[in-house]
Amino acid sequence: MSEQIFMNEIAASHGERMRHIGKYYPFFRLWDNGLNLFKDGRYADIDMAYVTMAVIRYFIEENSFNDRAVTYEMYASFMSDLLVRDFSPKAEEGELSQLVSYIFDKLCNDGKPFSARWFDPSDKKMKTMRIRLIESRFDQGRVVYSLTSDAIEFYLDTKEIKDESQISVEQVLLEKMVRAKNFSGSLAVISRINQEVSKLMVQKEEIVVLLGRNVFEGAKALEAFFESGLKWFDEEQKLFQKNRSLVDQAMRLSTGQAAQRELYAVDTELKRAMKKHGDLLIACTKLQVEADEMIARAKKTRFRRSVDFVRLKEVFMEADNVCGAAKLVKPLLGLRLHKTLNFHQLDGMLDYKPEEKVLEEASPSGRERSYVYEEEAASKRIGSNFTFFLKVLFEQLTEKDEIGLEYLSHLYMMKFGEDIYQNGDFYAFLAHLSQKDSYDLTKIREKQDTFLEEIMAEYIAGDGEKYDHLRFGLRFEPDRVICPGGTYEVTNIIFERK
Amino acid sequence: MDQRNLEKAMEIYGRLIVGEEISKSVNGDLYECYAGNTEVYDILDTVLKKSNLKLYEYQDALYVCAGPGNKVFGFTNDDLKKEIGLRLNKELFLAYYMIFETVILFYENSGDVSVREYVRVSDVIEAVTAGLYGVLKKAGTEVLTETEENSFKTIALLWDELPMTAQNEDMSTLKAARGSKIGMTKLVFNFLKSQNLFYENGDKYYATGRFRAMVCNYYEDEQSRLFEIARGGETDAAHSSDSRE
Repeated sequence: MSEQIFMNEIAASHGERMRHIGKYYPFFRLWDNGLNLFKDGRYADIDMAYVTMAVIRYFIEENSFNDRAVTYEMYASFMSDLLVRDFSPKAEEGELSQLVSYIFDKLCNDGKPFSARWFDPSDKKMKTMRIRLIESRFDQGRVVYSLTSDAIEFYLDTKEIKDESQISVEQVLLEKMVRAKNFSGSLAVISRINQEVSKLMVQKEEIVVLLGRNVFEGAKALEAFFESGLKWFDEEQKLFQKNRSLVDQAMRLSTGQAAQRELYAVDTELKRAMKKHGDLLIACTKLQVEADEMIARAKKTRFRRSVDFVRLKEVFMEADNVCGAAKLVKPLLGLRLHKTLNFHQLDGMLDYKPEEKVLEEASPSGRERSYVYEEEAASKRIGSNFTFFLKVLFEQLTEKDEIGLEYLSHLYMMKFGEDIYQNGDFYAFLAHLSQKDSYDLTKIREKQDTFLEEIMAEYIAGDGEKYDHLRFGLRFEPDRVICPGGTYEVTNIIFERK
Repeated sequence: MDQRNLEKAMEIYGRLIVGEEISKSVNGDLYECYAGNTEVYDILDTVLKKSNLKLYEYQDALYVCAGPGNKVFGFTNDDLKKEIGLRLNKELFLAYYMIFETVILFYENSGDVSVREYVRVSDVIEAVTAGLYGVLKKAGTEVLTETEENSFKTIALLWDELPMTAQNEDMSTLKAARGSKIGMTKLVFNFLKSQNLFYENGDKYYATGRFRAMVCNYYEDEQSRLFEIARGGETDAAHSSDSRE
């Protein structure tokens, strides 16, 4: 029994379905055949699917939005530009215009409707559907072309139009139908407009939910919604008014009772659509105000010290950082209690031979070397040189009450050779010695103020013990400059024993 | 240092790292030692720090988690794929995302007092769908490049392609499996149950003390690094031994 019911349903609805599908038929015929037969298939790469869609959109633009009929010249200019821009065909002279003309003939199916045979199960016989995309008429002495309502419906069906208003395009169709006095068709179009308005309402509700869950994501969706859905509002309103006055005009002029009944239904449905459309605008305006408040509130809470998980999620999503999300989740988890060994470790275990003794670290034979750094060597040299200089100075001071630097330099030269005047340590020694006005070697072992005093203390603690009673002072003679060995100029110093 | 205090501290440590509960009601004596004896507290703190583990106290119970880059106690991506029952990296990343959305269902902010006691599978599915809404819109029908394998686009497309239930599946016997939105959510919650973050009662998943302890304490503790990690500026929040596919 139930099988009979659904078989009946299949049969009953098949005709309607075929009529609905019919408007797609020319498109697929054009797409499938392509341009394979033109000039030995040299232009087969030109995609007829794209070309067909482009032409339909061009006709809608001219016929409905610019309110102009399309002449062949207008079409040819549009098509030539499109082909050159998108396909850059390598056409010989005059071939491009032939191609444009060939495509036009294909789109018009050489003036014949696209026809296909199909079986109608309710009548139990074969039927033929005939569909045109472009129709022509003779107007003011020229042939002009326009789209059929099937073509417009097909175009509307193929896409959720974002960059243009679906409602406006539907209204263009409505206008066409009212002018053609196709009132039952007009009713269907208005109900589609109603559905479109309802769809926008549903979208608005989705955004309200999203705003509640995530204000910033919701705000973005709202912006996109206004951008794609509501910016056409004014245009849609104008078209509604235009259609309303068309219907009014038709009502005034209509005579038959049946036609008036149909027109009345169209009028009522149109009023309902206009009211819904108005309601949508009010709801969206309110939503915009609420969304602004929600965003302001959410921005304030961002300054709180605690971690804002929603913001955190936004950050890793903005950065498209999937791994970041993973890393933020892992700390929630417990400890990894089940340990596993990786292949590397397993390999190591398999290769391990317990009987083999553990190799001890080999220690190379030979003498241990010690290294002396440059600074250490320099320090040692200075210490040694300074000791020699001190020894000479102390010897002289033991013998004499006072000696001058000039004489002392001469003694150094006699003892160490003439190179002493080029020796940096000699001048360094003088500089160090000049740091203090007097030296008391009796106390120097207990306390050393300078680097030189340390060397003095070392010296008298060893070989120079006999000088440990020595005390001497330095008298500088700034007016008297000497030049030991004729090299550098230095101020004379008199060393006095105390 | 008192030898007995050292032993107590090490006993607490030993139990925590094998996953035993230490709270006022379970192992109460150890919990009292931790809460009342400063030396035990200090020793345990030092040992945990040296082991790169973090300890949190929440409602008279102790919870421990692996610190940043802990290779001994931290999970790698491969470990987690095995634990959850997933095969692909993108499935694992989707699971992470679902867990994060679940956190947000309970706490939008770590300072919030969460009034929500439980979530249902449908709540999580709704939240994930809403969360990936924007990404999916943008993704459109673009073809993903190889570098985009681990991106939110991939996750969003994977989620979008999952049917609500697997084909011919009876609503009363919905299984945890990778093939559907409900199955995937159940799979993730089975894992969260094994980690003692949720328990199941009927079709509801209740958050445990451990979940609340971690959300309220860990994130605030690590606050300064979290946004860096989220931006991809820092290498890891807890584990550095992640494997790559």
